[in-house]
Amino acid sequence: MSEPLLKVENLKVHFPLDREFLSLKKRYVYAVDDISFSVNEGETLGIVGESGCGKTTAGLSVLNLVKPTGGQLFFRNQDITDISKLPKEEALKLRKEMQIIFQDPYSSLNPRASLKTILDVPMKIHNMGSAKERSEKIEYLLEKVGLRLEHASRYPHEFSGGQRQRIGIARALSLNPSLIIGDEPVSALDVSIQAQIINLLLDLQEEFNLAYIIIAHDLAVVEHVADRIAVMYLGKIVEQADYKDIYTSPLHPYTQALLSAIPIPDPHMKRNRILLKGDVPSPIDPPKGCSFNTRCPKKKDVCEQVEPVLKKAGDGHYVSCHFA
Amino acid sequence: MNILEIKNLKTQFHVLDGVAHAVNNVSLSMEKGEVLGVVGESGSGKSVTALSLMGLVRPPGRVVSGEILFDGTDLRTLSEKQMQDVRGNRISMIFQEPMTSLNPLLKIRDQISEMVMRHNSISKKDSYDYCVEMLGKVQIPYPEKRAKEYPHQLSGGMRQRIMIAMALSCNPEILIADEPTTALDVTIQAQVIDLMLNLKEQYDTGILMITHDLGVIAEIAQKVVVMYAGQVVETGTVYEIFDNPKHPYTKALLDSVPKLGKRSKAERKRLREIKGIVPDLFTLGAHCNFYERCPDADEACKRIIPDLIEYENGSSVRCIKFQGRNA
Repeated sequence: MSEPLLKVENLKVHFPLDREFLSLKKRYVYAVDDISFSVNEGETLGIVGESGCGKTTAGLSVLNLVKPTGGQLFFRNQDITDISKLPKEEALKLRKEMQIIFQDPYSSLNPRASLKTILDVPMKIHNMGSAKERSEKIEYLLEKVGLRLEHASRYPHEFSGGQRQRIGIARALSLNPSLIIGDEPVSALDVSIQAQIINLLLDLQEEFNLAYIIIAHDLAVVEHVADRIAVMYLGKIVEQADYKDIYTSPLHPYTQALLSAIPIPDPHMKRNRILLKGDVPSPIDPPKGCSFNTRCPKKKDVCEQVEPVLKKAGDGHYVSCHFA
Repeated sequence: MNILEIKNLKTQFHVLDGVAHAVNNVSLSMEKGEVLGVVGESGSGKSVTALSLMGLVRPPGRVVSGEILFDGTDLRTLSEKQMQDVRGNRISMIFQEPMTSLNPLLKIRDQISEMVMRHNSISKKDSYDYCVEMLGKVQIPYPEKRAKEYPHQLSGGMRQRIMIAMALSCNPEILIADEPTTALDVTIQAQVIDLMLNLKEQYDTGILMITHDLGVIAEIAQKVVVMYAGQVVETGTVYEIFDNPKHPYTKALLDSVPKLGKRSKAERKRLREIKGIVPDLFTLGAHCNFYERCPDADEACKRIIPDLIEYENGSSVRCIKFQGRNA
C-alpha cells in the first residue's frame, strides 16, 4: 500500500482556561486528546460525534488553523505539525494542497466581496496564472459547481444557502487541492438542497481524485459519503473502521447507541433503541478511566479505573473498549 | 372527534418588499390524543401555522382569514384575555431553541409555577412542590436541586425537558412542538422523543410535531401533513406517506435523504436531487407552487392552481396529475 496522503499521530489540542480563584492548578479543555488517523489519496474519512466531541477542532488543527498542543501531522511524509515554522514558500504550497469548506455558508463568505473576487483572491495569493487565466478558471469552476457565469458579479447576500455552499466548494477547489476538509458541509441546508451538495461533492471527488475529511454529526450522510469512519467521543476516537463495519457490526457501546438513536425515515422500522443516560461530560474534567463510563450501559468496575486503548478488532477495525 | 381543525388559514406578512404569503390556505385536522407530524423545508410555513394557531403572530404578520376550531370554538374570535386562558393551559407549545425560550433571570421553579398559578388556584408553595413533581416526570435527576437553578446551569437536553415539563404542567389537550429536537444531539434527541411519547400515553395529549426531519416523523407520528411554500401538498397516515407518497414533492423529498444502513447493505445509489430552490413567497404565481421543480410538470400545471383533493377519509393531495388512489 502506498503512503497515506495525510497522517495524524497522537494529535492533542488542549485549550488553557483561566485559573480559578486562589487555585494553583492550571486547567485545560481537552478538546482533542491523543487521536491518530490517516487519509489516503482520493479517499473519504468521515469523523462523526456529538457536539463538543472535538471533531471540528481535529479538522481545524490538521489545517493548522488551531495549533496542536501535541502529536505530529504529516502531509505526503512532510512534517506539517507547525506550518508557520516552515519557510514561507513551502507553507504556501502546503496550504494550497489542503482546503476547507465550512458549515455555515452565511458567515464564511465575505459579504463585501463579489463571487468573482471570492474565487480570484486565493488564486492571486498563490500566483496561479495571469488575470486572464484566472478568470477562465473562475468560469470553469462556476460551471463545475453548478453556478452560472452571470453569477460572478453578484454578492453573497444575493445567493441562497445551497448556492453559497457551492461557492464555498468552488473556492476550495480553485487551488487544485488534494485534500478538502468539510466541516458539517450540509448540516445548515434543507434536505432537498443537501442531496444536491452531497452529489456534487461525490462527483468532484471522482473527477479530481480528491481526498475528503467529512466532519458531521449526521451518521446517515456520513455513511453515504465516507469510505472509513472515525467515531469520536470527548476528544478521543473510540472506534474506527470501514463504513460497512461501522454500520453492520459496531463494536463500541457508544457507536451502537449512536446508531440506534438515529430516527430512520421508515415507519415500519421498530427498533430496540439503546437509550443513553445523561449528557456528555465536560471536556474540562473528563471522567477517569474510560471517558464513556458515565453513560455506558455495559459499564464494569474496570472502566472507572483503566483507560482503554484503541486496539485492533478486525481488518482495519479499531475500537477502544475493554469489552469489545 | 377532531380536537383541532384548521380551515383555509391564511397568514401574510406585509413588509416593504410586498406581501409574503407565509401560510396560504392551510387546512388540517387533528384528533384527540394523536400525533400529527407537519413536515416541510424552511419557508414552507409550518412554524407560522403553529404561531397563527397560538395567536402569536406579530406585526408585520397577520392572520388574514380562515378558521381555527379548537374543541368547537374558533380561536380567532376569542379576545386576547380569553386566548390567554387557552394558551399554556389547553394548548401549549415548545420551541426549537430551549435556551432562548426560557427566561434567564428566573429560577426553573419560578418559571413553571408562574404558569401553573396563572391557570389554577394553587398556592405558591404547592406550585413549587408540583414543579418538582413535573421535573421528576421528565426524568431530570435531582429535581429538588434543579428546580432552584437557573437555565444557564443546565445542558441543552435538560432545558428542553424543562420546556416539556412546563408545557405539560397544565395538562393541555394539545402540545405544539416546533422542531423540539433539532438543536439537540442525536443521543439526547432519542431521550427527548422517548420522553414525549411516554408522556403522551400518560396524559393523552395530542402532539402537533413540526419538523424537517423525516426520521423523527416516521418514528413518532400517526398522521402526516406535508407542506410546501405555505401550502399543504399532501396529507395521510404515516404509512401512506412513507410507503406510497402521492405528491411529486413528497416522493422527491423521501428520495433525497440518505437512509442509515442502506449503503452498507447495497451499493451507493446517487441521491435524488430536487432541482432549483423553494419559490419566493412574495411572488407566487397562478400555478402550482412546485411546478418549476417538479419532474412530472407539464403545460397544464403552469396554468392551474391545484386544489387539495381528499381522495380518502383524511388523505388528500394537491396535484392535478393525481388520478385517484390506484392510478
